[in-house]
Amino acid sequence: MTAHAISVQGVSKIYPGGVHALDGVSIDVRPGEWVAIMGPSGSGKTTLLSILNGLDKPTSGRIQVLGTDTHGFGPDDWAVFRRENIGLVFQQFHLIPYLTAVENVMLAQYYHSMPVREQALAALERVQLAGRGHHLPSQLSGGEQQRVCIARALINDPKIVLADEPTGNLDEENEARVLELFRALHGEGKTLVVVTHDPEIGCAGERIISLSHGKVSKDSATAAGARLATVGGPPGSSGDPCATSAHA
Amino acid sequence: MLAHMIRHSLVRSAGVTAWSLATLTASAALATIFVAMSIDVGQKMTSSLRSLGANAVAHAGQRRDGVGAPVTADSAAWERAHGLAEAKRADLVEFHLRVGTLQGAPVAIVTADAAGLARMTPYWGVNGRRAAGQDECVMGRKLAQVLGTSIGATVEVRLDGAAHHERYRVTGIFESGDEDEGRMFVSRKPRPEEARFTYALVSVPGGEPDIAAFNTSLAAAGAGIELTPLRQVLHGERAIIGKINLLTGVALLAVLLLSSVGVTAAVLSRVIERRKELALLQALGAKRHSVVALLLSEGAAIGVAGALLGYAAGTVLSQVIVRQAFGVSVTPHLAPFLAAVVVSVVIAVLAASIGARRALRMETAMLLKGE
Repeated sequence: MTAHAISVQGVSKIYPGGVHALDGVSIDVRPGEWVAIMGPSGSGKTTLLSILNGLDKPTSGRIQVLGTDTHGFGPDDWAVFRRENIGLVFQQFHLIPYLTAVENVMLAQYYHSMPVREQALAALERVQLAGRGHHLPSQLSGGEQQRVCIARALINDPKIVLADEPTGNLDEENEARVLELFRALHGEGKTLVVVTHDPEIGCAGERIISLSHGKVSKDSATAAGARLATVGGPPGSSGDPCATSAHA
Repeated sequence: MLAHMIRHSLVRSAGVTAWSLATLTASAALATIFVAMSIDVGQKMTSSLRSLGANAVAHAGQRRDGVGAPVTADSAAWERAHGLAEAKRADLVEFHLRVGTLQGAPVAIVTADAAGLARMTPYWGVNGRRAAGQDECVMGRKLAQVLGTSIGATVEVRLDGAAHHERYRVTGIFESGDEDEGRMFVSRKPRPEEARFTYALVSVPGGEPDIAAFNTSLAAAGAGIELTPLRQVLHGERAIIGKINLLTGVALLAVLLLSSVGVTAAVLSRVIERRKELALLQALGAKRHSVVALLLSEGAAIGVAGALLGYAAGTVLSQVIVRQAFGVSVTPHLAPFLAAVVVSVVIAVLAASIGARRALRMETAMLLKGE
């Protein structure tokens, strides 16, 4: 039996007022797999991601991450688990405005172990921001801020990277750069779960899970995923959802 | 990293920081003034109240000689009492009471140093002026009425069964509201052979314990003189000081309460302003207590700064106030500093803890949602 990086079983999320954001969602993500979660606004994508990273709690259902059953995890358990295993990339970057780029990266180190400036600078270099470490977020472009955010997500060498609309606020050039970074991470064997509206980002992964009204409406391998599947096993059940995409 | 974040965070929210700091500084300054006053001004006010007259009466004690005869305090005993009074910064004025006749009626004649009499009876309402020379006297209102004497008149007092007489010009007629209104006061000293009763009015700095201590010293010196506190005066003073302390205490509490509300509002606005940042810290792996520690540390930093500024301002202000009111300086004490630190830091940390509680209740996922 394959050990899943992420296993979601029958997860539902009902917000106060009775809004069903997720309704019995079950998905498995293999270690090293690149999964895109797509769907229209309000389909539950971001809620699912928030539940996967422990910032939100499911109303029902169970979640295993890296073999750990997170049922019963409190906020502090999740904080520790997140800093050890999960890197987060946000659409709005969420950089601390009064800290420089390198300090923003070091912040993740601070809560993980110990801030080391050299390592943080190396992480920035990796996202092609060498020499921009001393700049404040306000002095960086959106694409640069997103790359700082990615460097921060990677500084503690997480096994899983969860990204919420990582290219939502970026132009094409920066989108391509972020995509390149994700490819590199995938190549390193990181498990990637990317919530996106962007078919190009979605189709860059191995598998696309489509959500609609809080349910999984489609779970299919992309062309890239199908190629890998011939080597490593079937990731999804349906045909290539990117076949008709302009970006496919 | 934490110190760096705290510094930058405080600088970034300069408006909120300045408001919090100003409020805490004011609170710490008030606490400093209040405690400094409570410690120091109680004594200084009591000393100041001494300018309103005596708080004790000294008289010959119930000492008896070897055969049981009462011993009257002699001039040497009063000299010792004067020495002790000087050592205790007390004011002791002797009064010699003789009985003579004036226009055929018996009259009590009190001899006292003119300046000393003025110090001990500042509450007298004198019509005319107080006696200054050896041939002058002031007369109580009742006595003047009985004798039909007016200011400027000369009176002749007969003493020792009319064997001796003294002449005085009446310079003033006074009202005191007590038995002194039936007496006349002069400054000419009685002849040594003259029968008289000697007592003294004493103004002892401090309250009843200080009078008791003075009394003990008198007994130890064997002066044969006892001190009786004027309880009515002491009780009045205690009541006044107690009420002043109560009023200032209530005012201080009200100010502290208002400043707590003000600082809490400022901290809450800072928390709301930084809600995404605080959510991010948790997303990056900060435990709840780390977020609380960050906010409390920020609060404590402002609290300490407010305490230092408030103590400095409070010390200067209390010096000015005390100098204006009592003409003396406030003695430095540790307690006002501690009060400033406790008040400022407690308010700041309390406000920060309310802010932290609010921060922990916020929906982290919602705040970081990418929309």
